[in-house]
Amino acid sequence: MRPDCFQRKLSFLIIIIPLFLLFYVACPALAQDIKDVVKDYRHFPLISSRIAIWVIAELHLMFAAFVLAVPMFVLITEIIGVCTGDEKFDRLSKEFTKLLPVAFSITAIFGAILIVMLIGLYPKFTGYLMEIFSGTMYVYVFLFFGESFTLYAYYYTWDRMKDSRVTKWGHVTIGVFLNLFGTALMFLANAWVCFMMSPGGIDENTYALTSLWGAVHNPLWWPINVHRIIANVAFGGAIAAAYSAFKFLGSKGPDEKAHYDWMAYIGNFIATFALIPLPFAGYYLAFEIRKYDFALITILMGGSFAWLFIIQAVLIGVLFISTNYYLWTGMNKIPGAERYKKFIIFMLTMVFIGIAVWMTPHTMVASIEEARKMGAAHHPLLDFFGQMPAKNTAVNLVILTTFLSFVLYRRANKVATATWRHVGGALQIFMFAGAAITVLYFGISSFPPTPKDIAIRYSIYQVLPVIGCIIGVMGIDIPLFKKSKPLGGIRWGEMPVRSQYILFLIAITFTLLMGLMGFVRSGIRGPWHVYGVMKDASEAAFTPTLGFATTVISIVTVIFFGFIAFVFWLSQFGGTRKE
Amino acid sequence: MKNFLSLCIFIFAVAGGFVYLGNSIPQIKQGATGPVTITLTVEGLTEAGKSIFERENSCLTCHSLGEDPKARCPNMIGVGERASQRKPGMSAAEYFMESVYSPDAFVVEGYPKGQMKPVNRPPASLNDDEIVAVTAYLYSLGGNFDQDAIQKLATAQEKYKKFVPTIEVAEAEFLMPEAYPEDGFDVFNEMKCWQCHKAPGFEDKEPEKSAPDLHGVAAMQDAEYFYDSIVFPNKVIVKGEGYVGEDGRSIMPEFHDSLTLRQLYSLIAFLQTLK
Ligand code: HEC
Ligand code: HEC
Repeated sequence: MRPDCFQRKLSFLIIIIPLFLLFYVACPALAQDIKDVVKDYRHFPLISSRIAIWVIAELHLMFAAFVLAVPMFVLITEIIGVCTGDEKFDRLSKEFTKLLPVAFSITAIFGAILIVMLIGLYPKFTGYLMEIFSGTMYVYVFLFFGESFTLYAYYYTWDRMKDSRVTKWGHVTIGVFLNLFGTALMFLANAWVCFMMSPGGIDENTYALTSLWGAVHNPLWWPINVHRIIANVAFGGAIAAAYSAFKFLGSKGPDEKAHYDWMAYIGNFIATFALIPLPFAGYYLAFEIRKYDFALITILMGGSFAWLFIIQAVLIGVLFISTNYYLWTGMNKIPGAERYKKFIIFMLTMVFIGIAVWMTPHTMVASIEEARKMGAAHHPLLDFFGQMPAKNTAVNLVILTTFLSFVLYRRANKVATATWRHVGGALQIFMFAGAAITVLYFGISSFPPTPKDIAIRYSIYQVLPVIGCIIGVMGIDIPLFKKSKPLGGIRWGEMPVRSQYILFLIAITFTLLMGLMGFVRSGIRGPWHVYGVMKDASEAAFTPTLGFATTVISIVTVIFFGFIAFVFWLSQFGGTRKE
Repeated sequence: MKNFLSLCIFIFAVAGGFVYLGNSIPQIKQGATGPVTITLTVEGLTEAGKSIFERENSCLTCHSLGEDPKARCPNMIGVGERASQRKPGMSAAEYFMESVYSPDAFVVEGYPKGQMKPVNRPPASLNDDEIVAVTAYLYSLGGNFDQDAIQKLATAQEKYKKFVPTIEVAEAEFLMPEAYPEDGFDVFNEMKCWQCHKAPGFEDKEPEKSAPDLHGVAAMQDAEYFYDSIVFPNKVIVKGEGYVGEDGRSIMPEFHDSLTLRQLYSLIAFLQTLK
């Protein structure tokens, strides 16, 4: 059997089997309701409707994130390949693209299951959403076709359009459209989700639609759009790095090892690069939530969800530490990197302290009983480090440190020979120091009694120098090392096995983090389907404990990786690589 | 295969660690709030009010019951005593009702406007009885809450109960509820009043039809007049070239059905600033 043919058969099967399964599970649900069709809710056997929707929606979202993010950076690496003429980049791009068709089908399947289950299990709520958003459904279908068409075209025409420069750029154009369709699709889905948190465009009293655009462009739409795009890229990069690690572990010769090591490096680079602005996007989202409804932000930061942010901080800590660790182990394969080894301990300390400060909660409720006893929603032990200014400072410093790791990694095997190297180097040090000092200065100045609104302004003064430093240092770094003297080539492939597990750790952590933040985003609206508009009247109107939520999220993550393993495994059949 | 297995174990281990972490912190289930039973006695009301105040994602998320220097919203201890002194001429009962139905009418010093939402509206969505209960509870925090006070609260609430229904503009005094000129400015824009009228802030718009310039209109006219002009343009027709159509009626549309109450009030508030 030709591998191509095999893949097609399998894709067919993966579409059909879940549909059968779905039908099977849905049957009792359907049968149960012929008697009384007016039900608002239906029960899902065994695990309850809420959990069923939770799992399916989450899986759909994770695959969607993957399918959205991979084309984004594949397009970038493809363009780099075309511009530099480096065949390596083209191969890498194609290899990642190979994962897309199957992943796309899985996304679509979960999407379809989700819709069917929403209609079946939450008919009233879904009915209302449809009432509001029916106008967008056609657009959605159109975008969906657009995306499938461009996606398959992008993949299947890769080799055919590679030969001439003109057709290659044509291929890049398909990629651009693929990204446009994908992003628009996500924006639309975001509108529905955000409407549930911050409904807009409806009449205040009857809740009927007054403006479709108002419903789409509701208060949290843009913040979520921005946050999700960035997070998706980071997530996609991390999964791609995990893919490379997977291949690395299984590869035979040193050539293959070198290839996958390099690929993992690129994937991880993309993930890190997107990780850096993510906290800022998170703060932007929080600001907007605060502006939309102050009660939501107090629930988010001050209620029992405060504990969730400790877990979040642990996960983000894992991400930053792992990323730094990966870069540092990578330095072993770079001749000349010894020069920078001594900084690592300093950076390590910096990252650890930063994360520890970040983890210190501001407002802590041990339990609602305790809050009652204390007579306040706030813990008496609000300490110095639990304050927002301290946290902002810590985050900014951790980001600066990670950036420093990256800069050192970049120059590890190079010696600058430019005449202005001393000036350039001094300038870079100056920028780093300047940014760090500014961050500290404004961090310290924004503690109380500085009023809140001024402190908020200061937090922007902290971010700007960090972003400035990243841009400025890179602006010097690139020309500085353009014509540098290499101290020997990077020995790609010389990576310890544990570093590959670190890549897996990063990918898993990203997935867990996504699940966790999705839980809180959805959880703060409390017992509402649509905040302030439609109350959740089902038995599941409560917010589960964090322990329960983390269990569900973990199970979803394991299932997701199961599917991902399947995608990885399948992708080896469709390839053109000659073994 | 060996790699695959160890990867599987690794994934399970990380996910397991996460579950462990999630379960090692205090487990709080944020409850679905059932209905509160309210009996119309002093104890019955304060008890019910207390449970409304303290339940999840209700008042206690913002307010505190005790000194807390970093609390985001006013501490409620002693509010029963303070309430009668907050606004001159307003009794404690009246003040409580105003601060829960219309929190921005009086903003406690040091706190920004607009943070607290009217409690009869989502997300709190308390019904009238629940509001009496919760204000009764606040009343009892430092105040002397007795049978008499129940009556006072109920009377003070009357005004808000019929907050929305008709206002007899013609004879009675025109009472203006909460409204902001800024919102009115937006309504003016949304309703495209500028298609006919010139007004401050709409200098870039060129009216398509002839109608009075609204610059300085408030120097001569009051709220009642604006109410009429918007809702019943034909009651008083200003004389001017092109102001009336062939049927002898004002060309200005009647805005009976297209404005919500709040939009109308805001619009009037905006017009009132055009001195
Ligand atoms: C989103 C946070 C928030 C929630 C939830 C909230 N409040 Fe408030 N409340 C405030 C703020 C801020 C103020 C001070 C500003 C003002 O007066 O509007 C305030 C003021 C008050 C006052 C006046 C206090 C005084 O000292 O004069 C009363 C009474 C009050 N709230 C009652 C309630 C009740 C009852 C609930 C629950 C149904 C509630 N609040 C829920 C934020 C909140
Ligand atoms: C189709 C054109 C048109 C539109 C739209 C329109 N108006 Fe008018 N308006 C007029 C005309 C003509 C008059 C004068 C005749 C009259 O008194 O009805 C007038 C009169 C008024 C007056 C009394 C002015 C005075 O000098 O005494 C006010 C106030 C007013 N309009 C407010 C509004 C507001 C607010 C809106 C938007 C909600 C609006 N108008 C929309 C045409 C319009």
